[in-house]
Amino acid sequence: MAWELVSGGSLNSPTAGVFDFASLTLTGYEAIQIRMSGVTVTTDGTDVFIRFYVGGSEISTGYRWLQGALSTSAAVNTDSSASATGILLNSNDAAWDTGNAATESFGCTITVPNPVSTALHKRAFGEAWMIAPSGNALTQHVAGIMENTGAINGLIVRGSSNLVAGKVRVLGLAP
Amino acid sequence: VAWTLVDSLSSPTAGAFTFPSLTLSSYSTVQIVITGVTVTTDGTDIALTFYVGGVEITATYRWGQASGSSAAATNADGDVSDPSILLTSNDPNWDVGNASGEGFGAIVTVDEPTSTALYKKAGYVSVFTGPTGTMIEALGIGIMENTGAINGLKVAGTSSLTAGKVRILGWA
Repeated sequence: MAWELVSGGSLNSPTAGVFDFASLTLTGYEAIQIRMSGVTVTTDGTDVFIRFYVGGSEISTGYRWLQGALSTSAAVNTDSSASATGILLNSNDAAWDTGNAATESFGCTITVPNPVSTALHKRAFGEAWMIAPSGNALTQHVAGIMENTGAINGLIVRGSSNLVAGKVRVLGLAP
Repeated sequence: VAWTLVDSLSSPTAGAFTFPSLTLSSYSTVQIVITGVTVTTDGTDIALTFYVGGVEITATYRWGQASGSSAAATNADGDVSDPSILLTSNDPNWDVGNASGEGFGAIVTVDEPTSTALYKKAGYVSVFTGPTGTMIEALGIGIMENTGAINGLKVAGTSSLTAGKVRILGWA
C-alpha cells in the first residue's frame, strides 16, 4: 500500500483563477490526499476552499466545515459553518485568510477518506498554512464534510478571489 | 510525484543536526521528519533555522504554536521577531524534558523551499514529553521572512541535542 499520484492529479498553475480537476478516476483508492504549495491570491484576505465533483458535476451545496487557527502573534481563532458552498481551508474572517503581498502564499495537506463510497458522506481534514494580510503566519486545523453519498470523481480548488499561482497534487492511497 | 529521501542524519554533531548543503531545487515541498531526539537540559526548546546562499539565517523568523498536554492543559505562544522557528514553546514547562525516556519528534512541512519570490512557510506537528512527564502535542507554524532559496537547515536546541534522527524528504 502506498501513496501514488492520481492520473491527471497534478497542476502546476491555476487556470482562470482555479485549480480544476474536473475528471479524476479515484476507484480503488482508500483515501486521497490533496497537497497545495505556493498558492498566491489576487485580493488581500482571500478564502481558499475546495469542492468535489459527483457524476461529473461540481457540487456547490451541502457542505459543513470547521477550523481552529493559531497565529505567530499567538492569537487563536475558531470558525465554522453548518451550511456552506464548499469546504473552507481557512476562516470566514479575512484577517485569518491569505494575504496578497508578493511574498505571501497558502499551502495545505488535506486527506479525504473513502472518496468513492456510495454510502458515506465525504470527509476532509488536514492542516493549512498561510501568511495572512497582517504578515503573520497562520496554521489552521481544518475539517469538513460534503453531505452527499455520491462517488467523488473530481475536485476544484477555488478562492474568494482568483488564485494566481501555485501547485496542487492529488495523491491516492492504493491497496 | 513521490517522496524521496534528500538527506539523513542518525545522530547529532556538536549538539545539533546540521544540513549545511541541501539541493532542493527539484522539490515543491520538503518534509523534515524528526524522531527520538533527546536533550541535555530539562525544558529545552527545539529550534529550526534555514540556510540561504550557504549561510545560516538567524533573524527575521516568526512562529506560533498551540499545545495540548496529557494533563488536559493548553498553551499558546508565538513571536514575530525571532532568530529561529521554535518547534516547542518559549515556556520551559512546555518544552522537552531530559529524563530517561523523554524525547521529541516532529514532522515539519516546508512549501516551495527554493522559491525566490515567497517567504518560506513551515507548518509542523510536534510530539514530545515535557519536564513534568506529561505528553505534549504542539501544532505550529513558522515563516522565514526571506525570499532566498533554502539550501540547508539546522535543528538545534537551547541545550545540546544528544541523540535522535532527522530525515529530509522531498516531494518531486
